[in-house]
Amino acid sequence: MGVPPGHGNRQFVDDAQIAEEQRELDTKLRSSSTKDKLDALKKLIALMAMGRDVSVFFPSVVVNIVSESFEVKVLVYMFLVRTADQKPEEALLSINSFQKDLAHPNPRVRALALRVMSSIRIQVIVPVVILAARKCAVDPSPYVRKAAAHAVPKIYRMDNGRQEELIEIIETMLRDSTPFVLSSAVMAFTEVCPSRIDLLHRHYRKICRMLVDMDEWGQILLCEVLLRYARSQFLAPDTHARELGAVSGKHGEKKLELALPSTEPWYNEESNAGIQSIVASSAAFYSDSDEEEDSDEDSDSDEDKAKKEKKPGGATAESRGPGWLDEDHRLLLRCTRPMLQSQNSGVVMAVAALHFYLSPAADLPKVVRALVFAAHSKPESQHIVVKNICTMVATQPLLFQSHFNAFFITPKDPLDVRALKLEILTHIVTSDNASLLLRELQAYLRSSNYEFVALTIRAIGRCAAIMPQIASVCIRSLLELSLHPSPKVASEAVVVIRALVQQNPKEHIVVVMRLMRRLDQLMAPEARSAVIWLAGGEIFDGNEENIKASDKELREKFFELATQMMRRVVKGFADEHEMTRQQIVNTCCKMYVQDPLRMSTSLKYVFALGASDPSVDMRDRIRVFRALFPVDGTPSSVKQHGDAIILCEKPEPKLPSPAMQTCEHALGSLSHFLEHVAPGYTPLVKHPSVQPPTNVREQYFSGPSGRDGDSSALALRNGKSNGLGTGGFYSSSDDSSDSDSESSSYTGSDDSDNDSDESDDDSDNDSGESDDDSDDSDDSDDSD
Amino acid sequence: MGVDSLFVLNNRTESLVAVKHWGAITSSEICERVFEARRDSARNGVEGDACVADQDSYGFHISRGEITYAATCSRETSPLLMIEFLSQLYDVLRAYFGDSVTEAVLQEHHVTLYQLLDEMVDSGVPVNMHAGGLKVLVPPPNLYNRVTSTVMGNQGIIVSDQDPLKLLPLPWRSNNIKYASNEIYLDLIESIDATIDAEGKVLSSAVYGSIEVNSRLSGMPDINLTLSNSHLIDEYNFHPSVRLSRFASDRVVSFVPADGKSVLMSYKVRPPSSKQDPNQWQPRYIKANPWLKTANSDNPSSVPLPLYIRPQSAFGASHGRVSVVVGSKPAFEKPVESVSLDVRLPSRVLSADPSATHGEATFDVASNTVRWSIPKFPPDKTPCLSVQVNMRDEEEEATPSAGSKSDGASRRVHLQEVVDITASFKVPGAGVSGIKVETLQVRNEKYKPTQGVRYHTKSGAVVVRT
Repeated sequence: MGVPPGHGNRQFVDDAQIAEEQRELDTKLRSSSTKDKLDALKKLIALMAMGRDVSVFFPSVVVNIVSESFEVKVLVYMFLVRTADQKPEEALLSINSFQKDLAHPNPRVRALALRVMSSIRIQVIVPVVILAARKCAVDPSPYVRKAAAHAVPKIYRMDNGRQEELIEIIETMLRDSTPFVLSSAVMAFTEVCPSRIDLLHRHYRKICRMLVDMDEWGQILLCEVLLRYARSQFLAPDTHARELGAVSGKHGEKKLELALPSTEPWYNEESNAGIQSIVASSAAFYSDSDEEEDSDEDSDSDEDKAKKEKKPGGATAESRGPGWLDEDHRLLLRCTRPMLQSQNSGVVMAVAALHFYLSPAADLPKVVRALVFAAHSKPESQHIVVKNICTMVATQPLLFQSHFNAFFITPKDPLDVRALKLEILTHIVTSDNASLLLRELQAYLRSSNYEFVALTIRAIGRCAAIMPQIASVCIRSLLELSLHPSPKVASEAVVVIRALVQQNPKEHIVVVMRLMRRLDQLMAPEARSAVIWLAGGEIFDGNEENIKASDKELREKFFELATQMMRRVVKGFADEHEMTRQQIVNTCCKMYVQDPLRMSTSLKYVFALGASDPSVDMRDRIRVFRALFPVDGTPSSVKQHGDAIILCEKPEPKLPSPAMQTCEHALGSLSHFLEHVAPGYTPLVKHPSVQPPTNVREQYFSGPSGRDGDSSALALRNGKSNGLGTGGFYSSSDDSSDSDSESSSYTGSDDSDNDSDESDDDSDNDSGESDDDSDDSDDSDDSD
Repeated sequence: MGVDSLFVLNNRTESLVAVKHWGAITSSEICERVFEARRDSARNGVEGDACVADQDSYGFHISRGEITYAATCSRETSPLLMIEFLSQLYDVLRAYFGDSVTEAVLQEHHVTLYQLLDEMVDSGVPVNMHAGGLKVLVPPPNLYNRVTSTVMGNQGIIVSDQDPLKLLPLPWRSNNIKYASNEIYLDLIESIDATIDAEGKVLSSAVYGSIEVNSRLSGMPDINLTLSNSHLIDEYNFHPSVRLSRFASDRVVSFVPADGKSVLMSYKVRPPSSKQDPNQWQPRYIKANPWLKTANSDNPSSVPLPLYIRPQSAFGASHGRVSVVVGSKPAFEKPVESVSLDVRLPSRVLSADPSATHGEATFDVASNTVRWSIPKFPPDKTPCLSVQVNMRDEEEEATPSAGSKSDGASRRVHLQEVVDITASFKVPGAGVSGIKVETLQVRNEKYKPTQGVRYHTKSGAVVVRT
């Protein structure tokens, strides 16, 4: 791709043409006419776009950098950014003109110059570039400062020995109070020194408040950074399980069933105290943030209502119970929550992941609602969101029960998405909607995509395993499918039937017998070995005393049928798959235990064949079994153990989920989606067990309260009067303080580090004002 | 971290249209993976498979029209960031080059494309993807530019030389916008997702809506928009220009619009619960009619579909027949338009011969689908499609290996093969949920703009099960 492949003569013609073109372009580039230069540059950029190597033109392009025409300059830079790393030596020659442009009055030129300089990958110039970045980091124009922030990781990639100097620049930039710049500064931080969490302490509160004002891309990145920060600095919000890895072994971590009642009146649960404190903390959570409460007023789910009714009782519980959260922890949750309404599904996902890990269980339903809605936004993002939901469901199924319908499958869904949705559905199904789900699954069974049908069968099996009352219905419909033309589907059906039969064997003996009659029609080794296993008769339990006469009769019929079937199977032993062969041997042994007379010939035959089996494992088995079941009369010392070994108690088979195991990587990450560790991924740290010092974040706020955000209600500050600050435009009042300081930066004042501290002192006073007129503040702001 | 490279590909000819690298150069081999994935999706009639992996990079791709946009990353990056970047890139290109972004168009405007990419992304991280804001930094190729370039002999403005942040107080709006006549138009588009069984019973349904704004207003207008029946909005999201807290507190959509077209909000309509007043679901402008009432009493959570679809199919060993009848229901005051049905046939179909009494029906071999489109419904006849199909005889093909098993094969259950039908339609001029624009006030500017609101209903995923 890229360069169109040439063949024979055409190649030659092309070459000649290209050479001709090159000469023409070259002369144009060196001409004195701006028009010609522009023409040639445009052509070059078109060539570049096609993926052609245009670095040969580097020398003739670079001379134009001194051009007075802004357009020529911009095009030259566009060209240079792309080719600088291919022709580092030539780029080096023009470094003087780049440096000159760093002092250009136009911020765009300054930004471009820095961008090009940081793209030249030569170690020698690193000090120069660092110098340039340091200069641009305090540039009056935020546009240039942002470019400086983007240059830092590039320098780091070029020479990571300079980390110290780069960290200094990052420290400077973190003090910036323009959201636009800050997001890039934090990005540089994550790339250069993600472990230096101490750098973030002082800026944590500022960053939280500015989140709403950042561009959506910055929000995605910052949510990830803040999640990691919070995981290392705050205690776990409650004891509910959040990570898949944690679910398995540890006690003390519980599923949400306790906090979110479904069918049972939950307050009768024994662990009442814990719940009450969770509810209490969430109540306190709401009370200091009115705006969030409102947003939910008329969209509350039943659970929420139940929770509210419970409030008076719960609130009496001490607020520092297990549900207690640090103020800064709450600040983060409060500042991120509005972003759930972003149009960008990436933002919603990042915020949802943050809340899933950090917020108290009682707050999660809202997050889940937004996430399910985001899954609908476009087909491409659906896959990723559903994948994340799947992991959340595996740890906390109750959260998603009210969104049952949202996971029904449409014909446009790719197979991966279908598998994930089936997985989710089987996790969240309840006895109420089981019939609905079965009807839906039944419809999927008729799909012409057999892989999907196989997945659906597995899902039906999982539903039936969860709810034994529907098992017989499921088995009946699966029995039909065992004759499906696709061997994959048929075998899946049989495997699932076997698993279900095993859970409640007595009821399904007839089904097993039907399957045994059908064995000849089953092709897939999985299906055949499943049926052969069933024939072994282990589904009958051992105690013979209290069996009714009718049962006994049935049992005899069963063994009769099983022996007949085994005889036929043993005949074709050599043609079977290894898996089936093993099962044949096992079953023969089992039946020999029950009826040594009738089975001894079959077993002898099988032993004889198996002794020369191509599989080593098989031959070994035969050797062991021969000793355990000496059919040919050879003396054996372990004979008496045979029964116990072959008929030992076996656990009920679990129906493993057909979808890939949900993985333990951080939600929302690429690694999570791909299920392997992508380069650059670091796992989430565990919450500390002891609260780390909280006053580290105080330093930044020298004001007495230091918590202006909590008290202020919404007040939209529209910084129109002084140059329309981008930043504070849409943030609610706790950000308005920041917007002030930042609009001063827009007016062009050199907003260096010393200033920003002062402006934040101002901001404390400001927020006091905004409290007074909080109700109609946006009206008044707009009018002036 | 971030996007390494962007490949703009033509998926018809499977060739490269443009490429841009922000970091190291990514091998274009990944494009082959993208094409493979696309072919797979087309064969299975699915959409939304968006990730491919190559040796050392991960590619995400979306297809819009004949262009596939593929972005790669080699290090841990939020996958949704990649997807959103691509889809917003497409939105920007559409705002610049018109609704049909084709290879020819992109070839013609390479410089603009590159300039845009440079402004949108810095070192692999998207910075500003708002067409409204970018237009100030990179002027779109419009008639004026072209005329000046031919008449005046210069190249037109490629790029403006002003301080971007003076021009762009808000990322989506510059402060020097001037229009001779100020206009703002809203389109409220609601789409119906529904699954219907062969008898026409709605099994599950949902209504999603979005409000699209076309703003041509001067200066810095501040708009307050109120919606009637806003209690029906269940879940919602907003354009970055909307003040979230304002909507949360008093359900007023307050925003400074992006210039030109943008999607202001999307929402999901709350399904009426059976306990609620059933009348709530029937807004006044939808005629009360017998059908609607029965539909509602049957299944309170179903939405009124403007048309009915009755499929019938029968498949034999080597031949089969599918027939579909479509008719409109008088549920809406407005007529149903541009109805089109995709009938996906079972996989063992070899060829199909569709014929329709109205509209046009074609068979696509690659995806095994008959597409039937009826631009306008005939006034008093019911359109009907019938498809004769030839099928591969699987029972003969799957001759069992052992002769003794042949009678087993003949006893195999005869599977009732199904056709998947997805329907799409439009009903211009009517909304379905009853959510309407109540008032629209422009403040902060002195002029009185011309306003207009249009309502549309269209199909989302309408699936008919046979």
